[in-house]
Amino acid sequence: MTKLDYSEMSNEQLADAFIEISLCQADAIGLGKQRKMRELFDELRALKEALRERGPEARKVLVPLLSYSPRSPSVFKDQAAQVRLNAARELLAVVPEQARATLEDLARRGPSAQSGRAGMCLQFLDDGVFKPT
Amino acid sequence: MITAALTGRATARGPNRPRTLICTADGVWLWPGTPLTERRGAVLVPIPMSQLYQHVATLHGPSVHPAMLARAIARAAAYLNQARLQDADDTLTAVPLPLVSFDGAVLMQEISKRLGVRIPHVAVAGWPNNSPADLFEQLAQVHDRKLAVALTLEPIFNADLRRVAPADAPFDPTLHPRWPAGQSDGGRFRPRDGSPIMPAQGVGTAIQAARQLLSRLWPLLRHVPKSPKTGESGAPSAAPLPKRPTSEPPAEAPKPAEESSPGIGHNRPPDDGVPTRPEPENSPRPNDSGVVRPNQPFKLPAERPTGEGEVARWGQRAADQIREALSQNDTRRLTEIADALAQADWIKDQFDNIIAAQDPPRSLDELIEAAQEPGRRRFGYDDHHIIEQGPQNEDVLREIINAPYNIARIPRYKHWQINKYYGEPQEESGGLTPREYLKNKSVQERYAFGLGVLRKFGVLK
Repeated sequence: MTKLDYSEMSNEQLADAFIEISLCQADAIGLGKQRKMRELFDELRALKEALRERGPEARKVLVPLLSYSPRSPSVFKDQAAQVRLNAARELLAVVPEQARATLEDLARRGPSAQSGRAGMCLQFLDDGVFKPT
Repeated sequence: MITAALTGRATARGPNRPRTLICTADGVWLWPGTPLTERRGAVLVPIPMSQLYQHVATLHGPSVHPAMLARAIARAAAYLNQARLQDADDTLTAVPLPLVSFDGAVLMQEISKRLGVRIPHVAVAGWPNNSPADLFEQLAQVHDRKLAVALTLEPIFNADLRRVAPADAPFDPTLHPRWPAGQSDGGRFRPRDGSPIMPAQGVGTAIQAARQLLSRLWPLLRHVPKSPKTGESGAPSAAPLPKRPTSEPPAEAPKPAEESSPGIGHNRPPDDGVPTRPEPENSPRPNDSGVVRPNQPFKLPAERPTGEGEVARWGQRAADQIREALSQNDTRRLTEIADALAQADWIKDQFDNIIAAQDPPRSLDELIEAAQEPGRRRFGYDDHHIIEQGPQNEDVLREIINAPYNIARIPRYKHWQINKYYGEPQEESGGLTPREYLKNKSVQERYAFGLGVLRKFGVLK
């Protein structure tokens, strides 16, 4: 994924890019492309950092992604679930109840890849290892 | 085959008698899979008497006694509610039904041809009427929706099939294929597919593959598959499984990612510049389950995807879809998925993995014992090291890594998912991969983490 200058983007554009990166992450996970996963993780971190610098309200642009469910036939369930998973992780400190409910929902009935990751995220949370900011 | 009217009576009584009425823990059934009971809460009750009569008279003729039939079904249902399966079965055995009518027999033959299920060896009485042949074909179409139930119940209606089938497995029609009913040797076993001899009625290999897959999926359902509604006046499904041409590719199969134009879901990075918003309709829905397009048909690419890992990825998608359908007891969806899988030759080597992925979580003892089975590898499963093998755990004694308590046999897809997870940076571990995160942890912590991963990925109870 090409590095983008996220600081120049509007919040809505960042949300779009967030979706795009998440979809690519789902592909990388599904196809087992580890190097790609690292690249996308770093890319997403840069995006999230840009959003955080704008304050907690800006992050709320991601709230709709907790229920990301596009009608496009080109988006598969694992891809949509990855968007929700990433949004939930990022919003745990902003809308904790909604974010946690999303993680629990994914853990309970999400596609297997995202279900396991959501479950592990909850475990890190509950163990106190992961402290969302 | 149907006993000729010459005999004038059924061939046997007792548990192995030919029968058109049977019961399972989930209800009373008329051949091939018409439910004569329904659930109200936790209780089984007979369907209304008029419907009972309508269904049973279709096979046994108009002289069926409705009140007597209703009493018998009610009694059987009451036994089933008390988990007294044998008593329910005895009740059904004792129902003095008229013999199968001639028209009923013709209808059974037609249904048998459409669904590929065996006709019980029942006695037939009466004479043909002037009903046009296509009437029976139309009536039989109504039963297309019952394919799943009919396949499940086939060994119960046909005691000899039960003997052929392994004690703990449903009868697999692809392992014991038969010539279709309605021809001179109908019902007799025929050579398996791959032989130059093909069945006269030409059941395609894709259909056979779908049936094979389905026969492995039905036992995973928590109940006998849900049947269509008892009122059967609805139109038959638009594309019944047995009628579908084998060469027909799945409609509108999604292109492999490499072939798609850049956009949402493709596997390539976006071009330079700001990505465009992929979907405009992402309004929040608090109770949304994350299920995308629940009514969208399950489709696979017509051609084998060429990208690395693509075939397995489609297999895992199929496994996820099947898991969802199983959890909802949605046999229509299961049939649709099995059909799509059967049409795609390139995914057949994933079937074992797909089936194994449906395993429920198991106890640690079960997983460890399975891995210790001497000399037996099971298709669709891998041996997984709870504390991983590899350089990341080179500081752990080999005796620990290779100890029986550290090796669990788990479904292959789950194994792959877990391996990928271990190699992927995670926000919750500070951007480290789980392998990196565990690097300085104690052996006990690594083992506990490994068990946690197994639990969260649905392998361990």
